[in-house]
Amino acid sequence: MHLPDVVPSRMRRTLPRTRRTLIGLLVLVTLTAAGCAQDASRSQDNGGADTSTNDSTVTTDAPVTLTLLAHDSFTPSETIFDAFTADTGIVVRVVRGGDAGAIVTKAVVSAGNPEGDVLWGVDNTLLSRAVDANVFTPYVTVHRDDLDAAGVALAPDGVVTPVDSGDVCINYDKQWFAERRINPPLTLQALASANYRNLLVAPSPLTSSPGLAFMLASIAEFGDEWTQWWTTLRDNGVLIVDSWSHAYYSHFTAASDGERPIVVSYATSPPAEVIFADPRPTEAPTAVAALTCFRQYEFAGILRGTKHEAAAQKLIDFLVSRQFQEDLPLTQFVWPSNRNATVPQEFLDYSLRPENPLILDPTIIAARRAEWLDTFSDVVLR
Amino acid sequence: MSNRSLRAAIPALVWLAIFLLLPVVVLLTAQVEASDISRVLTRQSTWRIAWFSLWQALASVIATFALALPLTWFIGRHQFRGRGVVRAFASVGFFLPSVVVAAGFIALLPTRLHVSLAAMIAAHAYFNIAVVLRVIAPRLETFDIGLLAAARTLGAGALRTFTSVAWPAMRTAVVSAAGVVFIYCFTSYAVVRTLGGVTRNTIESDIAVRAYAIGDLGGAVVLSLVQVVVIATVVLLGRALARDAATAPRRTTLTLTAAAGVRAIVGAVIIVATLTVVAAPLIALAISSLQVGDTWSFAGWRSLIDNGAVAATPESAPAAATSAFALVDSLVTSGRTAVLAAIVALVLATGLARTVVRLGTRGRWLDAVSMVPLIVSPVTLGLGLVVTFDSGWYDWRGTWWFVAVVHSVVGLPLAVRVLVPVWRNVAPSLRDAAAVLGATPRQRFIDIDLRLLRPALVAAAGLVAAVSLGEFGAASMLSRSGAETLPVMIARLLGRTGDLVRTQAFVLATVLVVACVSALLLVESGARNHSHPRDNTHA
Repeated sequence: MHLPDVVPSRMRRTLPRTRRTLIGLLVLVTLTAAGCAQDASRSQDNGGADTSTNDSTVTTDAPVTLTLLAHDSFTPSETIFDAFTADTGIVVRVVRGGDAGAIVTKAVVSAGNPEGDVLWGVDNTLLSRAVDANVFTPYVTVHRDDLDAAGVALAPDGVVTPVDSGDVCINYDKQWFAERRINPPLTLQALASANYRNLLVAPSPLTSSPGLAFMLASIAEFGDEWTQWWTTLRDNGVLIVDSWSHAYYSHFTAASDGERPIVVSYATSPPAEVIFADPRPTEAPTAVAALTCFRQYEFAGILRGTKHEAAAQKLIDFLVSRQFQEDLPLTQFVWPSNRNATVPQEFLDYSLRPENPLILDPTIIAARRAEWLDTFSDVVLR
Repeated sequence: MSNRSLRAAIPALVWLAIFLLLPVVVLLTAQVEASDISRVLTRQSTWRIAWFSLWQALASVIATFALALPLTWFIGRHQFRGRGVVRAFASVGFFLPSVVVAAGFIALLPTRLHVSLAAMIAAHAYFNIAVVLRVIAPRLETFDIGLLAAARTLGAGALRTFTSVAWPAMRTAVVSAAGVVFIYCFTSYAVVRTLGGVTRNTIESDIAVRAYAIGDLGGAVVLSLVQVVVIATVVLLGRALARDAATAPRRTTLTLTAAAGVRAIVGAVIIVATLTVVAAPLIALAISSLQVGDTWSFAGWRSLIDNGAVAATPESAPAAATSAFALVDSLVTSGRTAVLAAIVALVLATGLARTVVRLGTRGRWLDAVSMVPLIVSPVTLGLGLVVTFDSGWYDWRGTWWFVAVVHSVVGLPLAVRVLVPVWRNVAPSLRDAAAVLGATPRQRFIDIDLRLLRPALVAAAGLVAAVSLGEFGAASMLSRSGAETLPVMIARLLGRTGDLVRTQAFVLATVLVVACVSALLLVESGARNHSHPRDNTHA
């Protein structure tokens, strides 16, 4: 790109040469010093780690800093790790690296030379991809017996630890349906009905994690017939968009100026609608169709190649401790994995926990995900 | 002489080799098997997607020219008050991250148009106004209008005058601008994803889908090679078309005329219309930053300066808002990253541009090499960097300056584009005279070249800084906690639940717009003192 071709019309007086040189040097020195300081603190971390690796009984003088890699939706209370640091001397640095697919992909390409020590947020739709790539070092947490058994069963050898769960479900705008005296859709099958023509907006499974869950829900529900259902849905005017936030905040009538009263979202979206509102309404403006829910479990695991394995094990224990787990519902709108954790009343009041959610075995998902996504592209996104 | 001048380009070439070529090669050898290549090349969807990438990019080039040419003509041919300011504002779209522009378009457009081919191409045109303006207007400025009069006097008709006088002089600039716009639109990702909708895929967006959703890294890398080949082919074709125009007339005196009468009215209409188009999505962003849900509120802005404002929100979940600390942190990180990237890119680009100028026509290959960062897929580059710099003393993935290093690579082509044409116009006679008077080569370089180039150096640094402020792809791969850049922070906030969080995203977007406009105004003021170029034989 060219800027205007310019040649000065006269020589301008500038700073004396020596002063310019000095300024240049100063800049260089500052930058180098900043770089060195960074390196020094890093190597110090590593030094402290080497002595403690694989031996939790050895204590070291240098504080260990753990890097916790997480997806962008990992938003615990900012001071949550202070108690952990006070107890163990271990500092936790949270690094967010994109959506769940992106962090797993990065973990896979850097397996053995990880970017951090612990990974938060691989879910049951991505689990096998990470496990097959030998991303994790197994560890069985001391809280294992307190955790959601269904979640533990998905990773029985402790390769990862279940940290929370949630459900992806059809949400609808209660007022919209009440005003028109139409019954909202309660099953996936119902969505194919002409009553709901042009009313549904969903994120794409190719670019969105709830979108993927919704596609898997249809596979769990309809088996091999799932593509026919999607064909009907397509002819019935389903709108597929790139992301959950775009679907919810640009098209869903209850949360935007949009024109679609049915959206694919979470079972915990109604409490979020209440808790984030100011002033709070007495009841949620949206509701969930319980029979359409697909359950997502999220896991945390120790990244193979960490230099802080013993410290990382302590962090895993902390992540599934009551203290951390009780922070989850109101910060991330998921259910804790630790069954002893107390769930806040306001969360219970507005949340729906489907009793028999749709599920699929992670190994089947891993084996067929690519094929399913290609099929989805061909059938729905053409 | 030739070896000596090549030496100045070595730092830049080494830099590109380490931070561009190496990561891609490492990723290629680690992830791609022979079967991936045949699998991708024989898949029908590959060619359908490549074809869509190609034609939408061409359509976007046409739309960009339609939107930008009137203003380019007026600015390129006329002198008027506030010219630099108009030019700065008209350019701002180019430097904003695509997530921000897409958010602005969505805030502006009726829901019906949110996802459409028209919205996507309009956004591409919006982005690239600056490219057309900045590449073509300088050529127009120095076009000697007397040549047209001469042609008319000699009996040439309007058409003949255009084809044999005006067009040959403009051809290089037009083809060059079209080429850059084409590359940007071809590799477009966030705009295609957000505004084009899920049924429209470019190669770049398919690379992301393969890499992240499907986990097909081999396929993703092969696709990014397909992308390089297609773009290189089209750009080389364009260069072949422009080749004989390399003998375009030497610059002459600036021939700007003052706008008066009907022209002034036409000009005012063009300026108002173009700036309205540029401002509309940005104003929509600013308005969104003043709304929480459906109600008007300063809560978003308050949260930027006052942590207490958020904490005071009664019992609302702690995650309802990101703390002021984190928001201000991302401001600082972005600023720091932009400054470092600008300094590094400037030093490297100066050496590279010097060599390109010294080598003359033999420097064309070097000129082409400097453009390579534009055509490498950011997703591929980001993954490559994660894989390559992963252990021992070169595990730089967690350092804040690594993002700046990558931005210096991404910004290098622009800096070189700015410096080369200006340097070409530094009269050799000045250097010769200095040499005769006993100046050493080093003194000649510092006292003549650098001094004459200062406005261009300021411009180049400003552009790299603005690019760094807006860059998303690589930064999202490498950003670190407490060191997230603004675009990364904005994208993350936009993806979360909660009205206040979204408002904060719009607040940050507004801040980013102001920062980019400031950087551009700085560039303009850097150039303003020297806005009367002289015939180089008289300089």
